[in-house]
This record gives sequence, structure tokens and C-alpha cells, in this order.
Amino acid sequence: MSFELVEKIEVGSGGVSQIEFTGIPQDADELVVFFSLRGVTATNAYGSFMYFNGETSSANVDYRIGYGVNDLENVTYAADANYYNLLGIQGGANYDDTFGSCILNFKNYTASNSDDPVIIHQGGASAETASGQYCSYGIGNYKGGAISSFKIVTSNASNYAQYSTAHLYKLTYA
Amino acid sequence: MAEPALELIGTYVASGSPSSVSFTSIPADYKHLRLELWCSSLAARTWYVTLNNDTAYVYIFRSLLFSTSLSNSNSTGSNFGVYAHRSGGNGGTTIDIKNYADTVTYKNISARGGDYGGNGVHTEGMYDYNEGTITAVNRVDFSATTAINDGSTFALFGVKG
Repeated sequence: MSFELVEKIEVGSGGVSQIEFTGIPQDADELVVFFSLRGVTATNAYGSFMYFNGETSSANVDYRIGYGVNDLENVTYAADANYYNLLGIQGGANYDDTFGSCILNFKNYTASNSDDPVIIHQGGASAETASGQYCSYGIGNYKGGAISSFKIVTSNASNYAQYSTAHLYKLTYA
Repeated sequence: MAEPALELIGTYVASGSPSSVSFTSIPADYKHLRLELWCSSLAARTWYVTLNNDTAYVYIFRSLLFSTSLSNSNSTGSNFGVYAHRSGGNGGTTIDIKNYADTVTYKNISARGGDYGGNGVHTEGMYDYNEGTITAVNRVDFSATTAINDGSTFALFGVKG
């Protein structure tokens, strides 16, 4: 087994509109991503949309996500979507210095044996009030073949704030 | 070959029915911490985590429970609760603490695990949320409501980044 850092992105002052990994090596069994994210807008922007292989209008993503916020718990799903909805992984700018988090796994990301890559995520948005906390867990498939790049953008088209981080690792089983 | 990004910092296997487990003087050399628990105690399934031996009212979190139905709850308190087992059997939990060593972000804590009864829980939370200070983490403590069963295993890894 080996677990190696592929690339890290740390957002500087001014923020960025997207976080993207390209040229992902195809020599491992699984990808693991650690996100720590914060938006710059005054309202909570709890979600991020994740696109694969530069596709923004394809219909290659299926997902089902369970989440909890306030007194609500629910399950949402989509078939043939053009992005994976990373619900509830992003801190809002109205809470000082709070960052949401997400652990993301891409299993079979090279689409070996023609099987689809599997997406698993668990995340949460931090907030300084208990009712504002968000928690989510989801699973999905990408049906467009091997994943060689992916990017995330905020669901309200705002920027990711300074000190947001993303670390991409590759995991080899043997 | 690239340098390994996951390193074992320490392992603790319970003996003598301890009441708590501590990892102290955690080096600041990594980007994230990962804790793997395989553990049991005599009673409740909830385990309590504190960082930096801080038992002030500085933890806030929300849990998503998968049992016979889906439910969620939130809490603030003097520790961070994670599910790891039910009485009578072991359970497993993975805990990640992102950017644990920096002094510019509040500390995200992610925990996901379950018990032999088939309940799964994912918990997200934050440390130091209302103190107005942002503190690097150098210590993690675990405790249960009763003594920890012998053989329970706790492993602390450093994740480079």
C-alpha cells in the first residue's frame, strides 16, 4: 500500500473562482482529496459543484446524498447530471474564520475493466451556531470513463476565500 | 518513488481497562491528522474527544445518523462526540483533523464510523468555535462513559501536504 501526495492547492489573498486538478496520474487505484473550504459571500454558500474532465454540460454523473441541517434531514439524488453536488462542505463568510470540510474518495478512478469510477464524499459546513452546521454523506458514479481532471466551483458562483485548501492524494493498494 | 504521505505517529492498545487514551506532544510536521479507532467499552456507543486537553465549551458539531431511518442532530459542548461502537461489540471510526497545525483556521473535525449493530454515523464539527482564538492542535484525548475494554486500538497518523 502507498499513499502519496499528488498536488496541493492553497488559496491566496483575493480568493479564486474555482479549484482544479488536472493531469491526474493514472497509475494508482484510488484518489483521496482533503478539502477545507470557505466562501467569500455574506450568505452561507454551503455547496460546491464538482465537474469532471472539463465537462460542464454532459450528463455523466449520478449521485445520491444524505444530509442534515437545522431540524431537517433528507436525501437528494440525481441521474444524468452534469456535476456532482458536494452539499454542505463550505463555510460561510458570515462566520469568522470558519471553514467547511470534505473528505472525497474516487474509487476505480481509472475506470479499469470499463467499470465506472465511484465517488464517495463526507462533508460538513462549519458555523458558529449549532443550527447552522451542515453534515452530508454521498455516493455517486461518473460515467464518462477515467477521471483525469476535476474542478469545484461554489454553488452561488462566488469565490473561495484565502486559506481554503485542497490536497489530492493517490492510494495504491498493492 | 514519491515520499509517502501517510505516516504512523503512534499506536495505543488498551490494557488494564483505562478510562481514557491520550496522544500528547503531537508533532506539527504534517498537514492533517488521521485517527483510526477500533474499540469498545462496557456501555454507551458515544466516545468523547477533546483537543489540547481543552474542556471548555468550545466544540460544535452536527451528526448524521444512519440507523433504521435517517436522522441528524447538533450539539455544542466541552467535548466532541463520535460513535464508535455499541456495548458488547467493537466498532470502528475514522477521524480527520484538517490543517491541525496552523493558526489561521478553526479546526475542522470529521468523524465517520459505526458499530456492530449496523448504525453508521457521520459527524462534522469544529473546535475553538467561540473562544476567539485559533489554536494549533498538539494533543488528542479519548474517553468513554465507562472503562475502555482491553484490546481497543487507537492509531494516530500524520498526513503530509
